[in-house]
Amino acid sequence: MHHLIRCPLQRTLVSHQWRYPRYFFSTKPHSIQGEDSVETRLNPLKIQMLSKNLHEQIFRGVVPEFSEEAVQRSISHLQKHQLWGKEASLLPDVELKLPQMYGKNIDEHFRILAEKQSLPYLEAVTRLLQAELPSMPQEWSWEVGWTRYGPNGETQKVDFPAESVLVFDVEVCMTEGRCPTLAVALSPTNWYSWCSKRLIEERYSWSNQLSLAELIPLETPLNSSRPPGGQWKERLVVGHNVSFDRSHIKEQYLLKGSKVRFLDTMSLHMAISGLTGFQRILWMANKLGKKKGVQEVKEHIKKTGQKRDGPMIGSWDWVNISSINNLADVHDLYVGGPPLQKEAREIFIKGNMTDVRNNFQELMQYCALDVQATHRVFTEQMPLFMERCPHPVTFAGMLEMGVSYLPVNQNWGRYLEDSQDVYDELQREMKKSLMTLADDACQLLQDSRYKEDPWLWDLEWDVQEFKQKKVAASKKKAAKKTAGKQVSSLLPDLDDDPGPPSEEEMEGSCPSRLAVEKLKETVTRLPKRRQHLPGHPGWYRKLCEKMSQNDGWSSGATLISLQMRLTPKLMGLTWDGFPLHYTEKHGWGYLVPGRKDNLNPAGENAGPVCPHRSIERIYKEYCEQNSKVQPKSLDSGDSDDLIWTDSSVWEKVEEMSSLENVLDENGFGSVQNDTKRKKALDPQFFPEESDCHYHHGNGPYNDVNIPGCWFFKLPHKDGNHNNVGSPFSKDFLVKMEDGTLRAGRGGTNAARALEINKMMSFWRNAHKRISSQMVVWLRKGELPRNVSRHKDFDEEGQYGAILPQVVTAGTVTRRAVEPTWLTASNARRDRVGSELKAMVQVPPGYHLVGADVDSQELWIAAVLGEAHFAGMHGCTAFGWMTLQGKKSQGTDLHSRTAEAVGISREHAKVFNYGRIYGAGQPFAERLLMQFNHRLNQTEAASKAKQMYALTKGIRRYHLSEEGEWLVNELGFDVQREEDGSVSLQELRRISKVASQSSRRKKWDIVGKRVWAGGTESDMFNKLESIAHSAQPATPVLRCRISRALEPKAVRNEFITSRVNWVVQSSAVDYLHLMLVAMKWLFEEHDIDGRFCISIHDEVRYLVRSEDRYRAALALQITNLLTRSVFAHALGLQDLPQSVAFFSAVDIDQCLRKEVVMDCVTPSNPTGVERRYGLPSGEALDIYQIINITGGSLDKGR
Amino acid sequence: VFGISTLSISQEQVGLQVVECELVKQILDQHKSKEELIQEIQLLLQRSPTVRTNLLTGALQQFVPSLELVNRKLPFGLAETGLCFQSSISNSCLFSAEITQTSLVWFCSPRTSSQWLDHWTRQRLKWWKKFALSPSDFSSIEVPKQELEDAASRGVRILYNFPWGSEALETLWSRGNAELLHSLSDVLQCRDGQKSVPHVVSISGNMDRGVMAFLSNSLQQLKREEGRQKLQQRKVLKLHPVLAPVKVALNIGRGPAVELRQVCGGLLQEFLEAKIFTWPGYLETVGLLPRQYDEMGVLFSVVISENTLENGLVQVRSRDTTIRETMHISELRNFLSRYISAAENI
Repeated sequence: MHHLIRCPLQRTLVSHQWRYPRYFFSTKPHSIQGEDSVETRLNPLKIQMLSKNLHEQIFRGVVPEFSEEAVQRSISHLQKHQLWGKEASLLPDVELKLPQMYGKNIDEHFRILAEKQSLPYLEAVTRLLQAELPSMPQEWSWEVGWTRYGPNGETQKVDFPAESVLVFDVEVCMTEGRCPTLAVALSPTNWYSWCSKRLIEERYSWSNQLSLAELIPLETPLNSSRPPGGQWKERLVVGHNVSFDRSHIKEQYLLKGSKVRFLDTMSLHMAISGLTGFQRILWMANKLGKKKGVQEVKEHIKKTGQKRDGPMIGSWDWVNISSINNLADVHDLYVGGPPLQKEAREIFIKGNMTDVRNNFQELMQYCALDVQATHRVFTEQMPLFMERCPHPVTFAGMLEMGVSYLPVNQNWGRYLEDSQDVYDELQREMKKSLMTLADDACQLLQDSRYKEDPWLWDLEWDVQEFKQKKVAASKKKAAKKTAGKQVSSLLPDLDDDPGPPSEEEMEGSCPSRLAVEKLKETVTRLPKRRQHLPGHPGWYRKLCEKMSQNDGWSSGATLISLQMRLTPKLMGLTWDGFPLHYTEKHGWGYLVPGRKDNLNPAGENAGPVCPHRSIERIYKEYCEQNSKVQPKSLDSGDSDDLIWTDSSVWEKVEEMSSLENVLDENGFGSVQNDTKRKKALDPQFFPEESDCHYHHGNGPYNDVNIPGCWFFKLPHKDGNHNNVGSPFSKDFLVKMEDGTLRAGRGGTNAARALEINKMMSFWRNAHKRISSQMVVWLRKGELPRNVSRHKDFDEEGQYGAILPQVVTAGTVTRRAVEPTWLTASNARRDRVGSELKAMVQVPPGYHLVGADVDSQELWIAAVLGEAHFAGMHGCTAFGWMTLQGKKSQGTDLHSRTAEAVGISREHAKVFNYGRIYGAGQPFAERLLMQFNHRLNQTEAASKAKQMYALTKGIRRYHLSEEGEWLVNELGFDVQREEDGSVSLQELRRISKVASQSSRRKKWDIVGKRVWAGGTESDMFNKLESIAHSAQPATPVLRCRISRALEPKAVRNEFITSRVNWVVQSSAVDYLHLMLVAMKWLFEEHDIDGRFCISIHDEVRYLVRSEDRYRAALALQITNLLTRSVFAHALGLQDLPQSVAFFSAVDIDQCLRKEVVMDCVTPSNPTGVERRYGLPSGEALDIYQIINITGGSLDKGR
Repeated sequence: VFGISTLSISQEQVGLQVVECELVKQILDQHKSKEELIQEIQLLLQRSPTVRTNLLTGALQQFVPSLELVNRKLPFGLAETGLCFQSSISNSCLFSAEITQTSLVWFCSPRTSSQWLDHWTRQRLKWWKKFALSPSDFSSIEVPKQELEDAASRGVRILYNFPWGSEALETLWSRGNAELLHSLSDVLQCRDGQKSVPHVVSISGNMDRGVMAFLSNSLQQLKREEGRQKLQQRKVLKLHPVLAPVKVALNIGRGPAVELRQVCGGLLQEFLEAKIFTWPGYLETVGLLPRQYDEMGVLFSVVISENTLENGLVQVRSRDTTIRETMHISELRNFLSRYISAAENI
């Protein structure tokens, strides 16, 4: 089973350079400052490398060598991009005695570590794979706790299954809370079942709070939190989406102890055969046939411009070697046979406990069948996984990632309460503002002033006539007479002072009361069903509740909400000064006055008439106001809405790449396609005189025939052909902040409603997920002594944990997926509840120690490119900028892009990441227009083009054999670069000539395509060469890409995903390496701590306070070693000093981006320090840590 | 929370004292030596009672009996409103001002006192916002450390953003237990069973300023330029329906005045019985204009006209929408009371 062989490191990448005379590295060949110590080392490109002592310890005396040619090539490349000769300051050298390392080189070191760490678990795997399974029990035992089933059907009550490996599945009756209901486990020798107390014992009510005793024990007896004999054993639990099952296991909530690890068949599946998001849609459409989703397939085919069975067919082979993630489909893929029955599941989702009881045997059986299926899947998967992810670090890293743990305390409950409270309060306030707006708008009814309102003119302003039953005229008269008589006869003289009311009057029989009572009788003449606010305009009537007998009634326009179509109009929203307008066909847009061609008297058109003059007037006012104010710079960069998390950038790229797949890739045909696309964008062909001359935007759409006005659509983030459904969506928040979109009237009410909308956005989207987090509180006895006896321990406090349900490899890049914690943004002043992360707070006596890997993905991409280009650090412009670039000198990557295109640095960041994730020029175009809607298509396109030429470079082509032959045959004179590539124009020329001089329709003249001339060209060439290789594998740990993305299965499709995969999957390798190294250092040096969580490029450990500085040092060493493995695997036997260590290791008491962030939000107005007593943490760089620890990891120094 | 009422006068010699002017005059008139005068006046001051400057002291004195009342279970609170006298010195002349203060003194365990402070801050702010037209003018702010009163460990102010700047409407203090110990030390010592002396969270508000805040908050001035027409203005006091002192005005329109007045009188009585405060506009020879009712914050103005005498229908104009709705006279009272009580629940 320990079949962990992998191909030897591929030196071939850099082999060509050995032809030249060697250029030896020396300690101080290029000293620029003269006063370097013997420790300081610079490479030929004057980049500071690891200190001598570190280099010797890590690379074991292997001295990197460079050819003169490579150095020269690099220098001229850097010169071309104005980067050569920039002063660079030197960092102080680091002197550190690293722990004893194993193996011949650093890669072997990590192999040995990982093998050692996963040995007991791999043994367990072997036992499971080799086992001959017992047969499944026919009848399940109705008993609380665990029952073991012997080979002959005998049952025995046990504390927990004792075997070292289990396949395990938990079922929860969803409608009755989060308590596990039943579970089945299978070991190599026995079946087990578990039933919850809540299932067996019928009680009227159960506590909402889960305690340890109600969870499923796997290691400890009831009412104990210690394993028998006091020894925790290494055991393995296998399950499908096992993190869900894990969150119901008792011992996993204990702060210390458990050595159980989890293997997730869903994650294994992702690593072997996972699908990208877009592939999943296609897969389902394909599977479900014509019923569902077939639309998407059609669109996909249309977009890629291919026919399903045409010659260029995007291969659909991948559909058959992959599946979506659920157990049934995964089982079908790996095992096959009859499909898994999942109907019983419904009872757990929709039914209550009684339903479960009534179907107990059936449901147990269902759960057991799932276990059996999981086992079969696992048996098939494991050899595949070992073959495809052969490096032991991958396996060990995934095990470690499976045991994340978030400590929380009583502040969690407080946070939930506060956030909800503030949220409700804001909602109320917003409603109030909107209601006031509606009330105020009613005033326009008077004198029909609404006709002149630029926004409200097209609302329904009709009022109803007050209806009464028809009464026969004679009767009516008679009634009137009698009423009149009575009234007059009883009338007292009002001129006299009536004096104090008499007793009579008090009883209500006074004449005036009688008159009123009499009048009240006329109520019979009202229709039985009362009209609903007949005197109010139609649109207002619709906002009001009908007054009925029930108590819930409230007055005013209570039904109004932000989502309604009339709300933006009530607020008088303007876009660059033009009033917003809605049309069914085009969604939200705005009216631009000045159109003349449709001003003809409307005549028969009975609809409301547009007050184009008042529209003109408000636009004039807007212009006057704006001329006073300095015109805003084209791009207001400070808005932090634009700081996207890298995962969101990728989502975006992926989404777009599905549209631009072929356009981007197949540059050869792009011109044609482009023109087609442009035509498609203009649905209407309109006469010239109807073009708006002074405003450029998305339009005009002249099928919207509003006299005197052009209609322009609001820009949409996914391209202007999309309709905007609501101007309050998230994408317009930025536009509100920069004043493009603003409330024209209603004074503070409208502006405030907009602001509140923004404040509520986070909690509105997240509160369900957050408040349903499963928290288990620990009793004092269940906490380790060092917590319960700590001086800060609060008897009345609560201490517990959340186990985030992390799918260790949840995407095709093997990145982890979890919906709440892994995507949580940082605290923002104007977002209710956004202090979420900071609510993860340590128990007394503990600290969180963690760090972010500095520009992880950029560095990985850069180092790949460097290995490809000249085999030394900093040899490509892109690499040089990531290593050496300085914000202050404007030589870092983002500043460079920002400068080149004329955008802010923050925006440039998004572009840069997007590009590295594989986004093409159209993405940049669209993004440019989104950031600055005043840019028109042509400007954006030229900017994007410029940016891409500068960075990614320009496509050049190598001729295929056929092409070369053709050129030769025709005696064609071809202009080539040094490397033999030709430009697109040249290629077109050849192809033209070829088709003219031959009857054959198509020549396949293009061979390899490369990028050239940009700062990142070599990086992309490297990424693409990996993505296009027959078996794409990550360069460091050699993990192969999902079968569903291998060229064999998909040919040339999903290139964006594949290119992105190279970097992101390598980032996952990075994380796995770190986890293995940390585990090693913690064990080796007796650092008391555990893995807490990793959020992509960030790791956090929960560490005993006294060990926190040693843990910080361990983390720094981990980073050093991990980067060294990367360099080693790429044949660069060295590492630049600037990336060797984390810029800072955070030692903190809660989870937050920066240790000094106070996480002030509307729901936490006083900040975490005041409110929760959490002081700022420490952020230490390597020098500070060495100072504190003396550079030693050893205890008790 | 219990409502209490404490004495406004005590014998403690701090703050403002009530001194009979005549007595002072008499003493001054006696032509005595300086020393004797000082002595006399000191004696007089000693004898004369002190008026309270806050409600806290009184409430603290009620702690022990109240504790018995709740069976010694924390937390509980004592609430009170009343007049207090606060002096302020300006331009070297001393004058005292009478203010209506509201007070809640909350007794809780030492561990939870900070949380209770947060709790009450939230509750109080919620209360203020509930009745506000634009709630965002009310806010809370932590009292900076250097401005903390002696005993207090934390303080929060609830502010209203007046047109002339922010002013505190209420102040919440987390006072610890020093004052309670001080004011009741001997009594407390006899009590056992109580592990620790409770901490005090005090909340005191200035009602006069609160009223000002609501008035200022509710005043809505709408300016609207309508085409070439003149500048139209509308001034409305959009007081919350619960706070509006006058809920409805009764007016007469065209028709036999005497009969109409009689009907109005009947309605007036009906409304007053239902505790709906009504403005008898019909009694005036020249009735007020709707605009004027808007400025008074009257929620609805009802017009009774000859039509009413015929079919019982009245015109009801709403302050907030300016729309006139037809309603039947038999449904008026029910509509009004439901309107007001519904507004309370929003």
